[in-house]
Amino acid sequence: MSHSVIVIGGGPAGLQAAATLGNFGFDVTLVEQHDYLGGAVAKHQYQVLMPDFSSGPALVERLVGSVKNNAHVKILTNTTVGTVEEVGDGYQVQLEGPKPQQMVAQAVVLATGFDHFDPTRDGKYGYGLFPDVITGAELEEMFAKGPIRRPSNGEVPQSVAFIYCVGSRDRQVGNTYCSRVCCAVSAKQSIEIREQLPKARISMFYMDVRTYGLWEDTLYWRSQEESGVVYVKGRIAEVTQKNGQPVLKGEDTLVRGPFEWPFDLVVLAAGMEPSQGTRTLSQKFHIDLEPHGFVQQAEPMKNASLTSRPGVFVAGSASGPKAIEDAIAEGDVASLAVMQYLKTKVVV
Amino acid sequence: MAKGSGIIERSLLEDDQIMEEENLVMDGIDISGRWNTMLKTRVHSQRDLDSWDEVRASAIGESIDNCIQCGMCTAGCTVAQEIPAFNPRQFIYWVRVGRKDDLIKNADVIWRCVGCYICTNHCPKEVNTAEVIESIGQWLRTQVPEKMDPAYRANHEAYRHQLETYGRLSLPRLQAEFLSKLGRQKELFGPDLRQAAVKMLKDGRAIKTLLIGRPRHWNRSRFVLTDSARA
Ligand SMILES: Cc1cc2nc3c(=O)[nH]c(=O)nc-3n(C[C@H](O)[C@H](O)[C@H](O)COP(=O)(O)OP(=O)(O)OC[C@H]3O[C@@H](n4cnc5c(N)ncnc54)[C@H](O)[C@@H]3O)c2cc1C
Ligand code: SF4
Ligand code: SF4
Ligand code: SF4
Repeated sequence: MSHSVIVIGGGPAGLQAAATLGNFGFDVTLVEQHDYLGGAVAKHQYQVLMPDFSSGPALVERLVGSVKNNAHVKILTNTTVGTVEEVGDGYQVQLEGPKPQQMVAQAVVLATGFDHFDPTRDGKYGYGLFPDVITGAELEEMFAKGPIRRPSNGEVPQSVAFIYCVGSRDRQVGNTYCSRVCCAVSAKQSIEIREQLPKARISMFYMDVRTYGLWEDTLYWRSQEESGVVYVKGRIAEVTQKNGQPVLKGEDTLVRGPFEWPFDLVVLAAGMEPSQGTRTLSQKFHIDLEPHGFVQQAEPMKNASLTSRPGVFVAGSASGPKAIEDAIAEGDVASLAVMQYLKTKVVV
Repeated sequence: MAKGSGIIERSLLEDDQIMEEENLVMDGIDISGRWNTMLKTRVHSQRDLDSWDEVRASAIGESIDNCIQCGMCTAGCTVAQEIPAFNPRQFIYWVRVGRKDDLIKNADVIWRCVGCYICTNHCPKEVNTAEVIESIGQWLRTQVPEKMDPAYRANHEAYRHQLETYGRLSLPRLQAEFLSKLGRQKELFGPDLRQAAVKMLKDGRAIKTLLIGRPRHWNRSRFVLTDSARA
């Protein structure tokens, strides 16, 4: 008997899980709410990926190809999950979209990913107020569209600032965790900006630089040594505007004392939050969330994809901020867990 | 030329760390002129962590352990813009690493906090920075009261005494105590205050103020102030 598995979310994690489960021979239904696949990478058109500067579009093409050319994977875009009911050997799921339908899945993989923190929720950075204050995701979109320009007047920026930890590590906005990739993504972006703008002054305003593991020298050091980027230790308290330029107010905690520093372009390294889909689907499947609102990994020391309910698995940034490579790896980890789970079911 | 003016990041050094000699001969070699500036090394070897324990134990200082040293408090601080030595982040740091000598050196400015709470409102870690600074100031007052500007001290003591004794603040009484602590009683009868007193007598405020008395059961509840604020 062939088991059917539903994978919810068509980002890197979900695509990988669907492809691998299809290769194992399961009947896989991949459900994606948007009309495109590829998750955040496709949404913001990441061109060059951290950490290895590989191509974003090529990654999406490969991942999407691996599910499209897979006879066992049925792809439903523009589709979301309606009601969910526990039935004999799995879950009966109502799918809402262009072709509403009902299916029974013996196992479920949640790969519903993250949302970017919306900096309008934190007024101090002037986002939405000053046109030259943009988010890291918007910078990615800018890279995709053409050369870097100041949104306010279309001019080439002479100075660029990155503000770290926007929407992360901050009790005032309610997110007390670190989003893990934004330090490294910002370093990558600074290196890209340097390639375009040999003369621009590029400054990073940080509390700690968390380019963990192998990214220390390949991204952090490289941005300093090869791209001449300066790191200033101090969290920005406020962005104002003077003479048409955003002005950063902070304390340089290494030489001590407050500063005011104008820039042509300011990039907010906005963090990651559990996506709306992650929130609603965890309710529908009655799985536990951890204290920050991501899906709780029930036994991370055993398998990263186990949730508080048997038969429901999680992969990618739905269970916490992480990089694409980890999201993809977890797609496979979840596939393995699903296979083990369904095998024991057959025996019993 | 100002002392040590050729030093990069001069602001990080204290005057007493810089040695400058007009004429300097070392080992028989005359090195007067551009080589005449030298720095005393400053190895910190005496940590005094009592301040940390006291601040953390006080009702207003307990959030000190939340601090992550991000600098947002100093960035927005009203006083730090004007007085470079006033740096709330750094006061917290000094307390936590036991740099009592630095705290004492800068004690005269810590009481300049104007209580605007901008720091507290900025802090991403929910440190009640304004009150932690007040708590550090309180501790320093016990250590080096002589460094406190006499007017600040008189003001502080008058507030405290008035509150503890009467359970309320009455402006005339406060003013009287404050001025007499400074030996400026005469000003109480100066033209300005006399005029104000006459006005207050006329519109009845003076009588009201004097008759209002203490809060109910003040003798029993005053410990709230004396114990918790001092703890
Ligand atoms: C500015 C920025 C730049 C980044 N750049 C890099 C980088 O260069 N390198 C790197 O390694 N990482 C990078 N990251 C992190 C990277 O985006 C994530 O690791 C990756 O997207 C996680 O993949 P995912 O599949 O878990 O989630 P997502 O990419 O968020 O995909 C989740 C998918 O699920 C869908 N979905 C959600 N809810 C539902 C629902 N209810 N029904 C159906 N579908 C649903 C969504 O539409 C989405 O397509 C970056 C992050 C940011 C913030
Ligand atoms: S990864 Fe860096 S920028 Fe992002 S939240 Fe963590 S410390 Fe802040
Ligand atoms: S803003 Fe808060 S966390 Fe940051 S240095 Fe000041 S007290 Fe510490
Ligand atoms: S309350 Fe004091 S320490 Fe805080 S910002 Fe105002 S003046 Fe500075």
